[in-house]
Formats: sequence, structure tokens, C-alpha cells
Amino acid sequence: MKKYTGDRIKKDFQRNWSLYLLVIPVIIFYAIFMYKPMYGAIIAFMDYTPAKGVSGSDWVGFANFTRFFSSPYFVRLLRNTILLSVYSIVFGFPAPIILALLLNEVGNKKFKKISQTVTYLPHFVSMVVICGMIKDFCLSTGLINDIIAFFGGERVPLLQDPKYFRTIYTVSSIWQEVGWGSIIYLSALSGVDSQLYEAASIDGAGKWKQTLHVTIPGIMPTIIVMLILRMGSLMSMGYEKTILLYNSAIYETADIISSYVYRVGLIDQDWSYSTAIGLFNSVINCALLVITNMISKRTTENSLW
Amino acid sequence: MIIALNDVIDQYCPNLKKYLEENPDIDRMVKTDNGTYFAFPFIRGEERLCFTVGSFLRQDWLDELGLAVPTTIDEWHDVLVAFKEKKGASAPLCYDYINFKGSNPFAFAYGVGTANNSSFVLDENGEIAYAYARDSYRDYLTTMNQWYQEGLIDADFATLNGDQVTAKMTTDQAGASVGWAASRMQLFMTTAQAENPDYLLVPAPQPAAKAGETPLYAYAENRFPDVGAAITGSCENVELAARFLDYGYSEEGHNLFNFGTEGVSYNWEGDRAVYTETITDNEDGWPIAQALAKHIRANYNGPFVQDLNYLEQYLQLETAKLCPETWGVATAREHTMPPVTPTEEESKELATIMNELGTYVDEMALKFIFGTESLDNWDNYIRTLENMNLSRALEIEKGALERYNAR
Repeated sequence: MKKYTGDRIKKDFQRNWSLYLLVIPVIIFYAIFMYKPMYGAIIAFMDYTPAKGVSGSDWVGFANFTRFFSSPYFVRLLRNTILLSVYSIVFGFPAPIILALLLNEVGNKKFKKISQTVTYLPHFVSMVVICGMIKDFCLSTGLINDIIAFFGGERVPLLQDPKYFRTIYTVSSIWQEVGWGSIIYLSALSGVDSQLYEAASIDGAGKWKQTLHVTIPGIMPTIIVMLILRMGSLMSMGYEKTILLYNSAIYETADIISSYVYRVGLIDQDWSYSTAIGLFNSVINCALLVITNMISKRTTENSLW
Repeated sequence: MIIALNDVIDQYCPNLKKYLEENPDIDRMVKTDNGTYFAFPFIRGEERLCFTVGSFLRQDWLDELGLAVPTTIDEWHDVLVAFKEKKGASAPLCYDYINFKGSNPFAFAYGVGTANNSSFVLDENGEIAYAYARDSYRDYLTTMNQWYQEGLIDADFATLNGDQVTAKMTTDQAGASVGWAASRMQLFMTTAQAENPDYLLVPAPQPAAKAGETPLYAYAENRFPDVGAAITGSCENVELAARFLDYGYSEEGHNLFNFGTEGVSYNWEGDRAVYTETITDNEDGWPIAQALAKHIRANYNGPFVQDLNYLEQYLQLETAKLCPETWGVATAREHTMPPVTPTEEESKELATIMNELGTYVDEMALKFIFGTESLDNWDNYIRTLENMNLSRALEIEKGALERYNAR
């Protein structure tokens, strides 16, 4: 381990001042938009009213947290959030890896380029538009029901029945992000040494065995880092997609912590309470990130820090 | 921090002061329980400007089928069935539930409709009641459930948005809807008439639950819909700010906010301000709502009194003009919760109770309507509401109403 003394930093700064200059905007960005707002999180421990401001509101300790934990919706919100996250990891995480592996095997360059463009596309469409499309597809007169009806099934308003929501959410998320997510793996794939493939084929390994024993181990470090990052956001399901898709008929499976925070905090203007819930969510995320990193460090020697 | 305006209004705001003195009902809404003013209010000038939501349906279909505009729940049922069977409408009644879950006229027929973000109504005896716990709420849900099962209500109505409703209403998939006079009914007509000149919508009056009954409840917004301008403590020249904000309540300001600039957006015809063609038939092809937005504030809000004359001209089509008159019910105001203010402590407690109740009630309403939850479980539903401390919420609202009436 190097030991950084003030002197060293000074020397380094003289040598690489242009790099330091480049990083300044990023530091400012983080300071203003990521760290400064954290100060506001203290209202989670207050009975905050805008009239009194952050400095003037009364401290209430953990009252807002207690209120959330004893809320009739606590268990359901937690379950919904965890389940949606777990689904998106179990099904959503491998999807871009598989797509990258498949694209990697495609010989026809034109076909490969077209496939990539087609799969990237949904990523660039705004969430509001995407969700509008999903809602249209899920109508009882929508695309999905047209297909169901074509095969003799009965039309159902898909987004009004709690049992379909998780599937709709997970599948549509894959559709949105699979292409974009595969880019990083494709670049990792191009870094795998081609001599390894030659050696493997001389040893008699077919395409499948090559994938299993050369390709996947080759991109494993990338996979692990991506997984750790993903675990850190396990509980931070954005509210945007949920509030754009859900309605009160499917709260049972669709209402997650962040959408509840949105309703309580922004619509009912109960700021302290919603901040407490949000903070609780962040603490869990942070813990998950640390734990995953630890496990990964022990088992695979890959880690973020 | 915003400042109390009592002295400010006394000293610098002759126009607002005069208006409030002449209209004690509005004055009561604008001030707080202890008589403090905080806002330069946006005020709807007349009761008729408050009946902004109602139902409307295809007059051309009614004529063809030899039916009259429905006035009771049973008549509505017959009309919807006829629309479905004889006109092939896949969703005879189609509206976006998200926007009108509490404010639709069918709920008001049972005395359980709500307005002004309140979940409370004043019942036949003038007592406060939580709309979604009333006995008649069960009847309302029973009717909605029946209509839904019979395919009379759009199967997707919980997920629909305004555009999807527009699409269905203008392409003969739906024949009746709920919404606003200009931004829905009039819009549907102008859109559909381009293809089908016979297309005609008429507003239906607030229906009664049973034949022979007179409807008592209807959607009525508060004359002061809780929108206004305020002055903050950091304002350097309070007098100037106050005089500026008071301008909207003067005759000149009134005309500016409601009609814009004389000679540009309106002209006087006798003593009536009439919008020019720039508004009604815009040279750049702008729809009236957009043309109005360039010159006036009356179709939004601000520190002034909204003029009925604005609405009468905004509603251009003959049948759309009928809406406020048709939807209004003389007794609606008596049953609408006024804008009460719980004390600061009470509002915390109330918020906790109401947001837990709100989630549960919203969820159960659709379950009952879709039939995924049987109405046999009604008692269970009421018990849950009680467990969520509904009676405490009622108590708080009751106290706040008493204080309001004593203002």
C-alpha cells in the first residue's frame, strides 16, 4: 500500500494538474446534487413543516420510522419491493449476458448490427412513453390480448389483475434494458484472448464447451462487478415505472416502498414520514452493497474495493 | 414564511377588501379559524362556475334508438344496454377512473361522490360522513359491479387515461363518458364531427338513485378552490406587492384577467365583453383553450374573480353551453364539505389516518367493482376502516367544521 502524504499529493498535482482539472466538474456535481441534499435527510427525525424550516422544526427521534414499521402496509410494501427486485435480478441480470453471448456468435455483420440497434432502441425512449405503450399492450383490447384471443383464450385487462403485474414489470424491464446492458459484455467479450479459443478447439471443445470454459470465465470479472453494483440498488426500485403503470386495483402486488413514498410525501405532503421511509430504503441498499462485495471478495477475489 | 395579510389588506387593498365584505361566504373560506388572511384568493365568481364535472352521452344514438336522456340509475342502465346491444359499443360507458373515481355523477346519485380533495360529505341531516363508509356506498358499489359484470363499463377503466377515453368516445366504441365540459365533451365533439357530422353529445343531468327521487348531491367545487397568491416575509416592498395583487379585484384588473386586452382579445358589445376572433377562430389555427391562454388567466387561476362570461364563451358548442346548468343541483353546496382547517397538531394525525385509509379504500373500491372481492365482505370492510381509526378522523373533521361555521 502506498502512503499518501501531503507532499506526495502536491507532487502528483503538479505532474497531473490537467487531470485534476478534468475531475473538478464531477466533484462539484456530486457535492451539489448528491451530498448537499443528504443534509435534508435529517427531517426524517423531525416533525418537519416548511413554515418552520429545517432548523426550526421539532425533533421527534425515530417516531417516523416506528410509524412506518407499524403501518398496515409495511409488510406488503417490503415484500413487493423485494420480490420485484429479486425478479429483476434473477431474470433481468442474465438477460443481457445471454444476448451478448448470442450476438457474439453471429457471423453475419449486417444482421448483428440490426439486432443490436433493435434491442438498444427501447432504452432511448422516455419512460413515460414506454409505460404508455405497455399500458396499451395490456388493455383488454390490446396487443397481448389479441394474441391470447387468437389462440382461443379469454381477454383480460392485464394491468387490473394483481397476479400479472410482476411478470409485466419484469418482462418489460428486460425489453427496455437488455440491449443497452449487453454493450458492456460485448466489449468484455472482445477482450477475450483468441488464442484461448484456438487452444480449446484443438483440445476438441465445441462451441458450447468453448462458451462454458473460455468465454464465460473470460468475462467473469465484468459480470461480478456488474452484479455487485446491481445488488446495491436491489431495493432502490425507482417509483417512476411503478406509478406510471399501477392503479389502485393492483396495489396488492404493485405498490412498492418508493411509490408509497411518492404518494405519502408528494401527494399527501407528509415530508418527514416519506423521508424516513426513503432513508430506511437507502440504509438497506447500502448494507446489501457491502455484504455482496464482502461475499464476492471471499469467493471470487473480485470486488469493488 | 408567508405573512398574515389582515393589516395589509386593510391598508392597501381596497378592492379585495370590498369584495370580501360584500361576499361573507367567500370571506369565510379565505380566512383561517382565527380570522387571519394569508392569500389573495382565486375565486369562482358564481356558483355555476363550480359545476365542472358531469356525464354526457351520444344524443344522435339516443334519437336513433328512441330513448330519452337518462335521469335515474335505472334509465342509465337501459341506455347503456341499448348502446351495447343495438349500437355495438364495446364499452358503452367509458371514463378514466383515476380522474373521476370520487367525482363521477353515479357516486353522487348515492350521496357518496366527493369533491375538493375531501373524502367527507355532509349528509341529509347536515352531519359529516365519510363517503366511503356510508351505507349507500355499498349500493353504489353494487351498481358499479353489476354494470362492470354486464360489460357496460369499459373493462379497462382503471388503467385508462384521457387520450384513450378520447379515442374510444370518438370512434363509436363508447357512447357515454364522464368529464369536463370544454376539455372533454367539447373536444370529443369537435374531433368526431370532422368524420361524422351527425355526432352529437349532450350533458345528462345529475341522475337520481331511484325513480321519483330528487338528486340532492352533485359535484361542486369550492368557490375558493384553495389557490391564491401570498406575500413572503422576505418581501422588501409589501405595499407595492399588495397593491399589485389587489389590482386583479378592481374592475380594470377583472377585465384584464378574464378577457385580456380590449381591442385585441375582446371588445365591448353593450356591457358584455366578447372575445374577438383571435380567441374564437384563431388565425394561426390554435384551439380556443390555447388562444385564451395567451391572453387571459381565467381558464387557469390567479388573484382575481373568475367571470361566468368567460366560461359561456369558452364553451362554444350549443350542447356544451348547457353543461353547468344541467349538471348543477341546487342543494349540492349544502352537501359539500367546505374548506375546513384542522389545527396543526390535528392535521398530522389526520394525514396519518387518511393516507392509510385512502390506500385501502381505493384498493377495495376496485376489488368490489371488479368482483374480485364479494360485497358480502362489506362488514369486514367497515370493520377495517374502524380499525384504521376512521372515527378519530371524523371527530377531527367535525371539530374543524364547527370552527369553520363559527368564523
